[in-house]
Amino acid sequence: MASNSILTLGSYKNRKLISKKTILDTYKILGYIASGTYGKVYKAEYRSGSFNNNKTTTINSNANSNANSNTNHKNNHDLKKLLFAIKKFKGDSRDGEILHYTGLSQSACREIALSKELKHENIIQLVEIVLEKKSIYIVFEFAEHDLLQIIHFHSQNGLKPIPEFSFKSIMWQILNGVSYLHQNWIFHRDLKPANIMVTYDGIIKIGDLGLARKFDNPLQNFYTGDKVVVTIWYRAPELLLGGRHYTPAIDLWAVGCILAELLALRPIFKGEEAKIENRRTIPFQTNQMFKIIEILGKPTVKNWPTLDKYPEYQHLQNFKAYSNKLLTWFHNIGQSNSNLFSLLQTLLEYDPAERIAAYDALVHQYFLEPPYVSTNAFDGLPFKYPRRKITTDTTDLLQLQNKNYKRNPNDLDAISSRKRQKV
Amino acid sequence: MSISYNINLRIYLHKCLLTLSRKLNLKIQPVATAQIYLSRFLITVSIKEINLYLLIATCVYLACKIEESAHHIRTVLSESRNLWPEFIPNDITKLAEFEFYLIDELEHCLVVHHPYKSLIQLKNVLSTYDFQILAGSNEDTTLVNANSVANNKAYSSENNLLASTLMNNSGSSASSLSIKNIQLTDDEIQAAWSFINDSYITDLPLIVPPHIIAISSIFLSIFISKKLSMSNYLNLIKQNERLLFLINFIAFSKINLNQIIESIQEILILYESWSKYDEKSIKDDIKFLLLNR
Ligand SMILES: Nc1ncnc2c1ncn2[C@@H]1O[C@H](COP(=O)(O)OP(=O)(O)O)[C@@H](O)[C@H]1O
Ligand SMILES: [Mg+2]
Repeated sequence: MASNSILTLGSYKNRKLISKKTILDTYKILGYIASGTYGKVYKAEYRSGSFNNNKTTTINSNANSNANSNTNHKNNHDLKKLLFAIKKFKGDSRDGEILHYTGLSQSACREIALSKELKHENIIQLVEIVLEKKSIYIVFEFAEHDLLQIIHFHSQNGLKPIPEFSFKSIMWQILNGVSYLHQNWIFHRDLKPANIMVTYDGIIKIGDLGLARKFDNPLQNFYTGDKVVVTIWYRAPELLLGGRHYTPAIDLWAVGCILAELLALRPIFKGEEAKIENRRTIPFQTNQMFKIIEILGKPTVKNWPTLDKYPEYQHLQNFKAYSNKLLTWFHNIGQSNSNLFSLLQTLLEYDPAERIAAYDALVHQYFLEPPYVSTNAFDGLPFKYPRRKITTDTTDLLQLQNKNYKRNPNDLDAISSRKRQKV
Repeated sequence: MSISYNINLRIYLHKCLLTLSRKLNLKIQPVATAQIYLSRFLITVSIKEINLYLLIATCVYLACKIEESAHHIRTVLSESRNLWPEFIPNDITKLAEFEFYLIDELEHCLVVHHPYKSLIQLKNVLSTYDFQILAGSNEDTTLVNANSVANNKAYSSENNLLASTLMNNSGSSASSLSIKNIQLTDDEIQAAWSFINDSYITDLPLIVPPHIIAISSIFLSIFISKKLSMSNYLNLIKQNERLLFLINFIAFSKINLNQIIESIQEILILYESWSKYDEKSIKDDIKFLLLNR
């Protein structure tokens, strides 16, 4: 057995540690935003006086583009500050410090790899990725709102609908972002209101690429081993029926559900998830399927020719015949625009092959009639959406910061001994 | 004792990576991505600073995740330990730690594009391409450039032959060809595929785009078909026509010819060096390096 040092990173690691700038050197954590499936998200601002590394250039150029889009919001002074959302991936931790290296999760890998590739107005912009002290941080531009909040805001204020202009601009921008993803052969796979953010100046930013995948490889089967895809309410019928071939259409189904939710201010297909009881059998999502059938009617090989090819097809036998009541649903929520209805219908098309593509939806008749969409979905709104709540009680990163950011004792040894030698 | 990151070492590292990949039953995509990570890491980090075997294991582990064919960290570690028991620690945190440094060194750019896809696309394009339509429209200046590039470089004998094939035929008109497309045989695709595989030993994939490597590999595979038919005159003529057709196709599609020549040259140089490959000495060198760190 060789000496211990060959099994470690040795001198390379020391060299790296010395030159490394830490996340808390660069950013000041303002508070804790939310905790998702894979990590905790914090609000942060740029720490002044740390403009001395090469990251500054990226951030500065980002700042400039922010400043440009801000010109018509002169009174939003405090919002002009550079704000960031820092996502810290989960791990076994104590007092905010991750205890062991365990290997990056698949989700972290996907998000790092894809965020790095993407640049589009309607996709949340990556600022940087920082790997430090066993933790993974992804720094994004900060978005003041998300669709979940906006829907809540309207439903709590006595079901006042979202103004048509805003609704329309939001929908178009979502489709624009999804179209960009699909043109790059990336499927988001987890589109839902919570993952669709909006900046304070009304620009849609699709976020959370933790489930997103690239599908441009002809050598790879489209079948994917991973099981949980898309939160159940937004899950496309072909996935519920056990379909394994992912197509961009699953994202468009989710967009259809989001469209319906923005109109109705509640999820259109609010099913109850059948929990996985044992590892081997994935349960059929009967209740979710039922919620869809209740409104869209029972699918048939007539309106969905490949229907009987799906693994879970036989489960459909248990449902009574329902007819399509989407138009009734649409009228019941107080809508009447026939072009809007047609857009909804083609997004919630059973047959994935017939479902409209994002690119085509961008020029759907509905978007060609007034009111015309804008890059600022909030333009002319007589009210302001509440800002994102942050909490400042001690949750890990903050705690770390407040401890005056002491380094991990092990790393400290390595660094200080080297530094001492140098001095 | 001196060990440097030369072609000998590169061949050895490539072989190690392939061995581990085979143990893990990997498809070509993650293998190729791991190889790119390895090459990119060693641009900025000296081989003397790190444990090369652990580096290979880490590249494979990360590439599998990025290519959506993840293996558990324990599996990667134990397969690596089976291969290089002296040099791989029995501790998953060491591999996971290295992953952090690897990702950082790669500047978080983890998505990699490979020539295999281009090879398949080119195969299809070449088989359906109708040259008659294009005849007369291929007065292309890139071919003229090829002459000057070729003249400025020292070529091995093999290279000379190839370069002159490329240059001397650059003027020939497509309309004089009797074939309208190229149906690559399975053997030729297989050969092109292997050329692509081997190109990963060199820095080519870091320098030229994937489609250049793909078309260079196709060129080489047809060139070999031609060499193999030297004794059969009719066959020789046919292979010659295919080569000409390919050259005209390259000219017409305005693919960077200089880069193609450079790639072909690089691959041929690799094969020349391969004949002098000495695995035992490399192994000993690495062992010495690691044990005396
Ligand atoms: N760029 C951002 N700006 C503001 N809030 C954000 C941002 N990114 C994420 N969040 C908040 O954090 C939550 C979780 O983030 P998300 O990326 O969806 O992680 P997860 O994969 O854990 O769901 C989001 O629902 C949102 O409330
Ligand atoms: Mg989320």
